[in-house]
Amino acid sequence: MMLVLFGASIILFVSLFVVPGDPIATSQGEGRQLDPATRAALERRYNLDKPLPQQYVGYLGRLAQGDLGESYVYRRSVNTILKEKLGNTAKLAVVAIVLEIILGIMAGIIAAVFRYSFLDVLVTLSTTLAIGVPTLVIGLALQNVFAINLGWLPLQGQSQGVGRSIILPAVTLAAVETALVSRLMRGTMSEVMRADFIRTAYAKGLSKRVVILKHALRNSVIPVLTFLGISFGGLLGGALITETVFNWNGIGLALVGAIQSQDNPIVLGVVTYGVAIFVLVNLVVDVAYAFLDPRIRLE
Amino acid sequence: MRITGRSTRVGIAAVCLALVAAACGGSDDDEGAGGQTGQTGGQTGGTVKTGGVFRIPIGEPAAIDPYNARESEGSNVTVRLFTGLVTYDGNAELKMRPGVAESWQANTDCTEWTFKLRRGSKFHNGEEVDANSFVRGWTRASIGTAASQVAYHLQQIEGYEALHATPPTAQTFTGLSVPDPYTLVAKLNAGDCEFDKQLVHPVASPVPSNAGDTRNTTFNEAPVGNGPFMMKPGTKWEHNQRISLVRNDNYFGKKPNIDGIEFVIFPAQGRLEAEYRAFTAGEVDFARIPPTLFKQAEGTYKPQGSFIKSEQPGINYLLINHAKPPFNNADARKAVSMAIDREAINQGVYQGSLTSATAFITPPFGAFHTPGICGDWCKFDVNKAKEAAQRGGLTPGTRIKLAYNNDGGHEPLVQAWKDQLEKNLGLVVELDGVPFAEHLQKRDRGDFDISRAAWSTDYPSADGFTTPLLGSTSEDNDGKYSNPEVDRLLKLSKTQKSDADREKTIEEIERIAIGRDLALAPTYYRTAYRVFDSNKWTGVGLDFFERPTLETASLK
Repeated sequence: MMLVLFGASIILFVSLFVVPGDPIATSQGEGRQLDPATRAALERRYNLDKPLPQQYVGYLGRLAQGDLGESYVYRRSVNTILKEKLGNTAKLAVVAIVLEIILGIMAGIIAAVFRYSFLDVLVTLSTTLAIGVPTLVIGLALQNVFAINLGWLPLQGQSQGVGRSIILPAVTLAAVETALVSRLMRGTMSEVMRADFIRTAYAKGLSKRVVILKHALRNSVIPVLTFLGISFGGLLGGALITETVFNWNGIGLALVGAIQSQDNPIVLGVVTYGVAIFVLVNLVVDVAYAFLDPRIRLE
Repeated sequence: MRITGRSTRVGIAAVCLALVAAACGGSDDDEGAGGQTGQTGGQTGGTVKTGGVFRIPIGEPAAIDPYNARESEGSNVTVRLFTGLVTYDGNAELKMRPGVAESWQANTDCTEWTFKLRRGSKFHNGEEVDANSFVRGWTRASIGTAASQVAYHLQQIEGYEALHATPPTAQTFTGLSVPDPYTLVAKLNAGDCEFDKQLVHPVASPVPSNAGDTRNTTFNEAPVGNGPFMMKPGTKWEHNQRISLVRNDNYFGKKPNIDGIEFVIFPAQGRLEAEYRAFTAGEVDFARIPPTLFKQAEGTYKPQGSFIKSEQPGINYLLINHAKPPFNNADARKAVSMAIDREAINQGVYQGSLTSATAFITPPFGAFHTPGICGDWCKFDVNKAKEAAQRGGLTPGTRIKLAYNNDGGHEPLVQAWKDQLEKNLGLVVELDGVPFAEHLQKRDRGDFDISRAAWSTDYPSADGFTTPLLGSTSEDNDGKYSNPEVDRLLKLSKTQKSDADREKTIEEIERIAIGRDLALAPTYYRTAYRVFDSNKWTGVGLDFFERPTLETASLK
């Protein structure tokens, strides 16, 4: 895990600092060019006056102490900036994941159990739609309907309370992944439903409810769980668009802004956090397998 | 390079170049011209209601601490929190008004300025504002370690260079002195009879004794100022969310009618569309207009009296490189300018929201503006353009490089220029679009033939246009225009105390540099457009710096 983080930090650092570009000039934004004295002061402040390897060693040293440096544009600690944003993105991602699990798995089970029925067709159609329509469009459409036309929910930001404000962005963020989860669930469940042990279970005289929920579900949920683990990374990525549309103050939004303004410490910080979270979540998923499938535990 | 040029740049108005068509702090939506600076939602008299919180959408500021409040976002907040020595009423003539200073005067050659401060004006924490508060604020912003990106507005004061160096070789301004707590004397490196105007920039604000240095996050996040509004007690800047201000009832000047301001912070990406949508959903009281929705917004909001059209000082122009052929020849420059159909582009690309320029100094500068001074050179005439091209050696097939920044939505404009120059003069135009910072560096290196450019000023002085863009030693004169007579007149204008004398000099400069030499080709005057909630508010307009006039705003 540490190796992955270390490798990621090298790749990131090099790709951000070696590519052409002038972050200090860019940090000036719309204003005139910087005078040399101010430029020198800023380069000194951000260690950009030192050779690249030395910058990297300095960066690693600070990283080891949990210090991600200071934003070139906002001159605030990246940790402070990301702390407030990470909380917001986490809220959004958790609500989205919960929606995915509940709606996606339920829809998948229903479609698998009632294969080729009207419900199955409905699930297939709606998931095709959710996968086909870009997140941006889903977000804007939800805003138009529920915020501008009906006025039921806030359009953007969090000024009307997180509870009300999170609904639209979470639904937008969850849309595609929910559809994918339900597709996957339907596929694996259909396969499991044809397996011998399910026939045996029925033969033992178990009710359909017990067979589906206890035997079939448990066996078909593992690939879905793997997918959810991977999709968490996707949620952070998908958050770029959702957070922009809904002005949701999360790390997706921070990353978009930072890339545009070449605010490298923020980009590094977000991606470092992202990689760390991704690695952690997948570790949790691996552990969860062991609980769900005794064969993995035995190996 | 900037340092070597600094002594020659004394007195240059603080300037900002435009990232987008609309110059500093603005955006692509609101460029154009026409109409009087001011408002459509003006107050109609009668009793003025007090109360209400006015909600303004802004982007996340880089800083609201005056030491580095450098873009429209930050300065929109900072100017509400702080009042400097002098103020300026954007809707009146180009006159300065007292701020903390009750009176001020310069010596004969304008190298020494004495400001007499009012007694009893207070910071929001109750501390009295005196001359030392200003020395503290100016020094804090200018010292090299602060790395302020706007401190250059104070560079004319003696001792700035040593203070601003990295590392600083002095800790104080040698040019500032405080003979008594209510008198501030500023000695300048060279005479400038408009120095007072430059002090309207937020960087020239006073700070209280507990402000600390510029790394004091407590002050950065909740600045204690002396202005008509103060941070809502118990709050600080909620990053990427909001900044809440309330009226300062102890303000020495005219108190605002509104109870407070809420700056609602939007992400930079798609901000224009987002803030307009938020306005239509009733979540903010004021918004800019996306260019694509301009006509629709005008049609909807103009009849309701919610549409603001305000002429702004900025100008868009075609920057021309004098340093190399073919444009070291005036006829070649004139040919290009006359081959561009400004009005067709205005209608075709900008939905008629601009006004074609006929002068360099823009209409909001009042008496300093001389309409038509550009003469034929700013009028579209293919035949005259061809004749001039022939005289200037700009033969068909000549390859020229047209530079622009590709992060400001200028593609339709430069594409139209390219098409017209190729069609009308037979030139081969190569478009060279790069991000803004890189674009500025290319211009600085002279790596262009012609370029899209825009300019505005941070204080109400026509010299903010002439010296930076026409002075031969100015760092901002990227076209490298050079005319000794213009340089002499620029120097003269600095030392003229009377507005009337200065007007004549500036007009003469413009007549030579634009009317005769066509140093650069003015294209459009800048106009800003906004919408505001006129069902709720009245007295809302835009000032000289495109900020909503909250000193006159009130509930309807």
